[in-house]
Amino acid sequence: MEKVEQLFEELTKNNPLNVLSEFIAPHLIGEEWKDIRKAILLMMATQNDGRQRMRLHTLLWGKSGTGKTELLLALQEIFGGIIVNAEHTSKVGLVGDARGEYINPGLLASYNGNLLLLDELDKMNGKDMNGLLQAMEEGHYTIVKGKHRETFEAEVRVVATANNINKITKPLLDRFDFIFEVRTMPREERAEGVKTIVENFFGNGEKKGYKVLRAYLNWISDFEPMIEEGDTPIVVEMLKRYILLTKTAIDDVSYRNLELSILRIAYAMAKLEKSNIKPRHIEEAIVFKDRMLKRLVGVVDGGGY
Amino acid sequence: MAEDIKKKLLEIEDEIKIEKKQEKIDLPVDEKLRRLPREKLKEIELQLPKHVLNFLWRTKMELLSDIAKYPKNRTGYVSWLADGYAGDYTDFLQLHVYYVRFLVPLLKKI
Repeated sequence: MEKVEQLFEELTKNNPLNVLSEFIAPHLIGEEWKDIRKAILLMMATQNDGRQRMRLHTLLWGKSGTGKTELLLALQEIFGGIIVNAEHTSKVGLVGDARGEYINPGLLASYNGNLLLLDELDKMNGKDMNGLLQAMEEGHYTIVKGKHRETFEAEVRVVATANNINKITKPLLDRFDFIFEVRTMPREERAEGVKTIVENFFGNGEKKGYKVLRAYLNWISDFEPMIEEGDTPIVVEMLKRYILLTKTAIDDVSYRNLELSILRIAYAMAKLEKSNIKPRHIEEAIVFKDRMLKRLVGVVDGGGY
Repeated sequence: MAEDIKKKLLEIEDEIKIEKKQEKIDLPVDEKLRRLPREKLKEIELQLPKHVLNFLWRTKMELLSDIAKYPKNRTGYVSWLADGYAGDYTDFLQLHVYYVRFLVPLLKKI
């Protein structure tokens, strides 16, 4: 084990985000998947973090057959997450209900502490969306009906998929730090990826790196990055400059989904390196978030970068 | 360098044993409220800002944490009044706001 720890120690200084994210669903090919893999790894880096505000959530949307559900299946295999089809859970009740003397906490409470893989989020009913929103933000949700008022723990990280992003309420969308549109691949890109698919298909299934990934995340799990006092004003200045200068259309993006999200991403990046939060993590987080936002909300005229 | 490390890790993947680290016990605020003795809560609430403490006095609340017992709606307000507290509906909602804004962060620290 000493050898493993030594290698992990070396990896902290050699871009663990790039290296380890390659282990996540390598059969899903195309440029956007590189960022999606990184987003998932950042989410998982803070999976067991005691600080709830550090939780990250991911949404993939796009046409059927672009690999969204494939990713959920891969995440189930790697991290043991729970796949839930949002359309079907609406009949059972994700957030439960109160009837007469009894409160049924719903399925969400039973997912406490887990990675929740939600397929077809756009087909979820409004009540469940509200409960999910509260769980994603606060780590618990409350059932209030008549004289009943009970709060249930639901500390979940969510990876969700949707065909139609417009059917998801804006407040719920706002809770997702990462929103990626998965597109149908151009033929050239598809042809380039054939090698990876074939290799994975015929691979012996033993050297997938899943165990390396899980062991590494476990190894960093009790590390909590801090920010050094002298770095705080630099971080403030970096965020201010980004907001003022970016060409990305951020005006309708809430502070929760921009400033706070960038800080959460930087925290996860630092944690992956077992390092305190440095200005370079903020810079990397800004670049990562901005690239994602540009694809999502587009750009405006003016601005500096 | 990174590729070398990756290769070495994959070579020894089978030998890796994952020993789960003990999870941190971070009780939710509701649970902390249930467990904390009233005296200890009083001590914690002394750290609340002065305007909040004054507001508590005005609404006849001994502890801000007591507001958590009442749902933040009209039904909760009626029960709150019935228990002898004083104020209009806005005051009642304000207490809930103070609870989330000032007391929950204090409880999270302990």
